[in-house]
Amino acid sequence: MNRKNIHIRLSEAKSSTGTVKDLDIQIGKIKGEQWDEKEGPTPFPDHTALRNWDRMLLTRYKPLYIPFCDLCCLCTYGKCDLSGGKRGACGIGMEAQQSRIVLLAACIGAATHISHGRHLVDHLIEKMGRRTPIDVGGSNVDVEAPMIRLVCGIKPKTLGDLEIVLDYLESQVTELLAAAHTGQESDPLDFESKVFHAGMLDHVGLELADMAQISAFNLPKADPDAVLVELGLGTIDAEKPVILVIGHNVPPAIDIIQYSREHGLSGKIEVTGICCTAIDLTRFDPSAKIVGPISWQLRYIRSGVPDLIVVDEQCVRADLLIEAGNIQAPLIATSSKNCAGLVDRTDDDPDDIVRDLISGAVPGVLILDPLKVGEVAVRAALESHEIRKTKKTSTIPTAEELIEFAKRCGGCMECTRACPNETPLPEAMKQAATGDLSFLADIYDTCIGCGRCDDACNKEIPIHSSLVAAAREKVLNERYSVRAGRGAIQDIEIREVGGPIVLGEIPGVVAFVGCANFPNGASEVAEMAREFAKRRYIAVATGCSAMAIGMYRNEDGQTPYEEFHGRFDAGGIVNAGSCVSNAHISGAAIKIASIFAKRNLRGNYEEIADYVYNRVGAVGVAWGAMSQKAAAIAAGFWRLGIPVIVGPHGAKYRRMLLGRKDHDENWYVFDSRTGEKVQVGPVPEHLFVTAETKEEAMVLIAKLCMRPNDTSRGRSMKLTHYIDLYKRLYGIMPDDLHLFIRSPADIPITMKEELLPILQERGMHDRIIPDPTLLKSQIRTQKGGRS
Amino acid sequence: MSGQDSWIRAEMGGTKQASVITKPEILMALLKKAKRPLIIIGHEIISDRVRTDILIRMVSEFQKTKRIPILTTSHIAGQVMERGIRLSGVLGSMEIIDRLRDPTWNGCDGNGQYDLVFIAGFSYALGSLLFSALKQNAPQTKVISLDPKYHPHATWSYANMKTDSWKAEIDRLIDLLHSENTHQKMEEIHV
Repeated sequence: MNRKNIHIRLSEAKSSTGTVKDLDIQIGKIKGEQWDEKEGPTPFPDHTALRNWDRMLLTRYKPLYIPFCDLCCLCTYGKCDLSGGKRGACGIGMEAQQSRIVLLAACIGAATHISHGRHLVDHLIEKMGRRTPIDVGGSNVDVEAPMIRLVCGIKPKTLGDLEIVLDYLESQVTELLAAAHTGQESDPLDFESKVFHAGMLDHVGLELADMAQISAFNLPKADPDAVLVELGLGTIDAEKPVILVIGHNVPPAIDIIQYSREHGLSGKIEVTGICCTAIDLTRFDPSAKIVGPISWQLRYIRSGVPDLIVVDEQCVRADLLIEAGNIQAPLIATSSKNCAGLVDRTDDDPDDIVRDLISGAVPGVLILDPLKVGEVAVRAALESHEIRKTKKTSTIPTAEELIEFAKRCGGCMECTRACPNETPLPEAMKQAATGDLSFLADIYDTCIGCGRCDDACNKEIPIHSSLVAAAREKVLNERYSVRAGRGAIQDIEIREVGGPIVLGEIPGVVAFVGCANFPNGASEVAEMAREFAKRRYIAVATGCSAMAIGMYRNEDGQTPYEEFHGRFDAGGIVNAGSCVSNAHISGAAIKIASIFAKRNLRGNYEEIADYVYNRVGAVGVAWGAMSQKAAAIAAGFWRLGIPVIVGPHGAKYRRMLLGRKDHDENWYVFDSRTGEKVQVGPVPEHLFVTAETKEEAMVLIAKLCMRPNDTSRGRSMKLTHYIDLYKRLYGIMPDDLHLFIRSPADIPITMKEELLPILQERGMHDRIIPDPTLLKSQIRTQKGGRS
Repeated sequence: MSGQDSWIRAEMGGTKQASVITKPEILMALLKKAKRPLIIIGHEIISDRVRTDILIRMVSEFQKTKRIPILTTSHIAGQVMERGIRLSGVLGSMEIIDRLRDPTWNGCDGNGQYDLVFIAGFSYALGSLLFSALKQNAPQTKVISLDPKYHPHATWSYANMKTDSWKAEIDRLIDLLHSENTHQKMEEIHV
């Protein structure tokens, strides 16, 4: 690779042919002179460079560890019992061990995104050249890489520039992983600081990956009016050959579309997708269809509709080769990270590969060249469709078969005991045995599609397929829409909302992100997003959560993407795109500091994070977070001081970051104008917290959007939403209002009569609204500038 | 159905497993020793109709006879109060655990940390994590699961049992609470 990072500087060189002055040659680095912004203190920070900032946050939000079990099983000393204050053979205690597990999860997540970015960039450079310009929004986006600017202190212009960023990310993740080895890091807070570092690296990797694919594939460029695309099983025409793509790496799927176009097959085959490959594919070609989130894999494949399955990387079920075989659909694996045990046919003639797939000589193949995948997938799908349409390929039972299966059920409860959501399957089976399938159909709505019930059943009832069978009508009517992922937020949008957000007058930015391990079905995400869009917050979404929001229709038959606009503005529901598009959410917060507040980004992480933490009322909601990637994404938000709420399964990440609102002494900031320490109340109260129900989550969202910088008008608006939601959903008045009301001007006008007596009883004291910062370095000198 | 294995099969505990509540006298003995008992109830006390009446009656009797403070989590406060239960506070499940691990917390009433905690009304998966968090972070606190599913991370837990059997156990507990209360009142009158 042509990246040696060589820097030669000669002030004067004389030779027989002449004299050269001020020669500056850099290979593999971007010249600093391209950017006149002053460089901050931490360009390309290593894993200890931001330790002090992390510790400030971790002092306020102390980790609460929630072990899965009492043991550590990582080395051959073990198993070691760490319960009751015991230490393992290596000397590690339970808290350090739990934080080590969190670090491992965050590293796996960050490595996955970064490796995806590397894969994309290498592929695109090979295809289009290192000098291919980065363009995520044309003239609408000047700050095109806020995360990279902030962390790395460089301004990438071309795909080649991204390689320098990748080198940095890879070396840092390796350092972090090394710290998790036995006998290395031992302190829980140092582990946590490294978790934050992994999260920050993750967001750089996310941004890099999405920038590369937006630029190379001409995906929507910060387009608030990106087209609506179809979503749901009911939108698919099974009469046509159907290809299913699953995963997160879109190039093979794009080459499927390209091959179809080049061979006059557009519109004649259905290209359908699950998970983020689906989202990214519809950003490229709006005629592709999104089946649904990650949890739709089993139900869709078992329907028998796909004639051929193409898997790439991340969130792909490990048993898809078996499932594909059950419906006689060939499978093509396309990622070196997910070879699925298949023979590598990358260098083989497409004719041979198609022949072997169609004859059934092999159940699937590994092809690591996206272009070849495009050809083989389309040709094999056409032939597979012809064969499969003559026979039953669905493994979903008919209603009659289902009733017979249900009669086998002895009510042993093993299925319920295997179900993450403890669904009452035996009861529903009992009812189904009488011919009434409605209870089973109801359970379909809350099923996360894991299939654990199937393996648990000792009567060999195909339980998951039975749910789909019972909900047949519902499944066929899954016809929704989602706005194609728009990518970045425009600079002008930031200019317009920056002020109202920082002052609190747009009450918050709520990001619905992450996987589909929902406690009670996908509809809760749509319900939450609509609630906050109606309240004129800015709702942003990515990945499976963006799909979940789309899977809802209001009384007028509109999906939320039809009901609400897609601008980054009050009252919008903004689909940024796939998992990697999460960087545009953190990027938007950073751009508020840069574009609205004119703070320098370049290598200036701590100051910008301090700004975001104290001023930008943003909250992440990962209602069905399941993966290690989600852990890394959350960690990237934490380091920026953006709180994240997870659903009840999210407590399984083994650690919360909780503030104590009853400890007044924890909630002081500096007033950067005077250096005075000011008590600002518990805003935001937590950095990472599990909500038990969607109602609790909604109240938490409203509460965690409050920031020390809110003006009285802004705070009163935020309080209006908090109190209104609390009263409506909890049925009582919140008991902590006095902590958030700094002066009578903060009290919502319409609630004054009701609140004043309560506040007087609690003893309200007037507090000033500071220019808040946690950093002494941000206190201004007498001369005016920052010290 | 075996009684003493984790209800969700894979939610195994560890080296220390909860003792099984085989008779209500165990709970009465624990209460007798406790200086500061507390009840925490989660949202399934309302959403799981099978358990609602039984659990509401149980915690209500605890409150009446033993004056044990009750905290609710999530959004159920209003609905629980409508059923005649007086609440000492509303906090998120994680917020409560965070306070219970803090030896300097003075409780909802300012009178000190709790030493005996009854928990009911959570999904099994979340409940399991709450018990584990308390076992790890508040090792001095005795933590009792009142739901009819075995929770290995608790200090004491009911075994996995059918609703009818569990209801019968709770009825016996309530009878004991009443009779002890009556007995105590008689003694007070006698004194």
